[in-house]
Amino acid sequence: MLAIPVLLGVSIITFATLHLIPGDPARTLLFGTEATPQQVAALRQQLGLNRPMPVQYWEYLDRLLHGDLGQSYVNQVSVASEIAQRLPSTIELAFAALVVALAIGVPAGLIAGTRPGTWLDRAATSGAVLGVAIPYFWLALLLVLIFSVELGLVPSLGVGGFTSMILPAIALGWGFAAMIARLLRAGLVDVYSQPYVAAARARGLSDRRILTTTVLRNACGPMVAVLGLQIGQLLAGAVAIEVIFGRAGIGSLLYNAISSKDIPTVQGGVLFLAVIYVALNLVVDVLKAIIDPRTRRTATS
Amino acid sequence: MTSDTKWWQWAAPRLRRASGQRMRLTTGTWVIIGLLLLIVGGTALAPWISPHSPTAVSSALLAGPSGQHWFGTDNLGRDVFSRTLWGGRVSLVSAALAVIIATVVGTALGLLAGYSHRLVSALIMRAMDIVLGFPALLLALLVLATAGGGMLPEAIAISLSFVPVFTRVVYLSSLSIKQEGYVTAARVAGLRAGTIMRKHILPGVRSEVVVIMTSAFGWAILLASTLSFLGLGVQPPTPDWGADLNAGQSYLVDGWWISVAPGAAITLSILLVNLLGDHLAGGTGRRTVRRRGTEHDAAAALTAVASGQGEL
Repeated sequence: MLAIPVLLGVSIITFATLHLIPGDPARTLLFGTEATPQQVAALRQQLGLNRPMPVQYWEYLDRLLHGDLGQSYVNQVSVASEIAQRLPSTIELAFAALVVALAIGVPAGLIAGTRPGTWLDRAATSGAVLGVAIPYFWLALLLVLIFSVELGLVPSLGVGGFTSMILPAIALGWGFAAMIARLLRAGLVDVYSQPYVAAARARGLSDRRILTTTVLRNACGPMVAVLGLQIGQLLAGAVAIEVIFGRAGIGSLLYNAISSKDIPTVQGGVLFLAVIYVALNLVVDVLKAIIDPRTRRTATS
Repeated sequence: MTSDTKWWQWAAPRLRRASGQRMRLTTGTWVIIGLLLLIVGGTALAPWISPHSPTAVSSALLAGPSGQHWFGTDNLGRDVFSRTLWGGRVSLVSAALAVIIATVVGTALGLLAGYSHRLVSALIMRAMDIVLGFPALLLALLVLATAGGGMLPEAIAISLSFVPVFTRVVYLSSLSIKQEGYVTAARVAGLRAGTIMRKHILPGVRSEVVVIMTSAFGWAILLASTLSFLGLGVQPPTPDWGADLNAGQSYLVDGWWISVAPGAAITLSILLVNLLGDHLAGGTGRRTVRRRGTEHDAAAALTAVASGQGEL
């Protein structure tokens, strides 16, 4: 369980970004304003910038552990409460995208992996190659263009009901679906070439039974593993998707903070998402150990 | 990410196929290379071959595709085809730079971790775990938002999340190469560690590194264009795929071509780079060598990085 050192490291990096860049952090924070030397000095005092770096980090960590992510530099609102307020919207989006990804990726991977070399396999594989190459933010625009502008089937932006969720979820989940399909196919093809599958065939088990009892479980490993890494993509991808569809989530909060040079909010948002990412990967590790007991030994050591 | 086994979820089918094989170039590979050269050439030669200036405004606002303007014009009457030709310059160059930086730094760290004292390698690998604790796009956003834009900062910001990928692959490969007799022989012969790493271990990991490079390039293009889509790349009048895509967002109804052209250019570039990676790695003879027990888990890995979307 290396999650705690990783989390500490993540907090060090976020802390360091403000201090490693050239120049006075107080000036960086006051960027764009006509600050007098007195104001800069006051801010340095207020931020504790005159104290030694380790002390500053310790205090930063102490505040983090108390759920204090600092204050927005633009409107003085607490970053933590801003994030808490926008969290449900982002979770909703990420979850919907995950559902889309699984609903498209798993059947496609199964179809391709159980009949390698057929036209169905080729179609699914090419679809996956293309799906991975399309930038999700462009896919989002294309979807809006086709389904909102041309066909008028679903609203192009805003939050409200199920229909406004469809396009963002597809745009964000599509690449993930392609990845799942590709990995599931690779896993299936690999497992089908194993001697124990031939042995099961020789014993006269039906194809369906072989698939459900032995093959599927073994073929899922790679897919589940990447699931954790891909959730990071969903969280990060939410930035562009929320902006395009005008959703008020953590992604659009980050985007606005970046445009207005609101560094405490940028740091808080990135740190928050990184922590979720690490936590979800932990969950995926556990999930993996449940699916494939062989990984247990190495995971706990 | 929580332990070294995690990496095995990262190493992909193509990586396994690549290890220890000579690369073969088939006709299909040459076709892909040709198309890629067409994109790179079009972008590089844009100043000479683009029919209009990418920033020259005209009275033909939001005009559809025509003989005069192949891809139409945007809201300021600028030629979209010319902007698309010019628009790859920043994204492609910063993506390439990012991959080069990550290759050099990541391979060096991986060799060092693989051949050094256990303490040093633990230190390096744990640091890599931490960097992987961030989704790549967020790490780049954090760095660029605080440090400010520009091509080099952008390339560095993108390369940050690739470094651990190179390091881990090189580290794991060099661990097994280290066991080979010729490395022991070199050590016994009194060669310095640096020489052994360079002359005896590096050649053994070269094909893996090349596979990751092609994989990472597609991903880097996506990251670079995402950053400029979010307004962290070049600033407005300069043509850029990501930025133009963002600008075209407001004109979906009146001028779909403004966003479709740069989007298609990004997609095509990533697609070709990924296909090239597949072809370079795809020695068809399936090697059945199972170097380390959990090889089947390896099936997962690099495709993620590989296919350009490992994690954004």
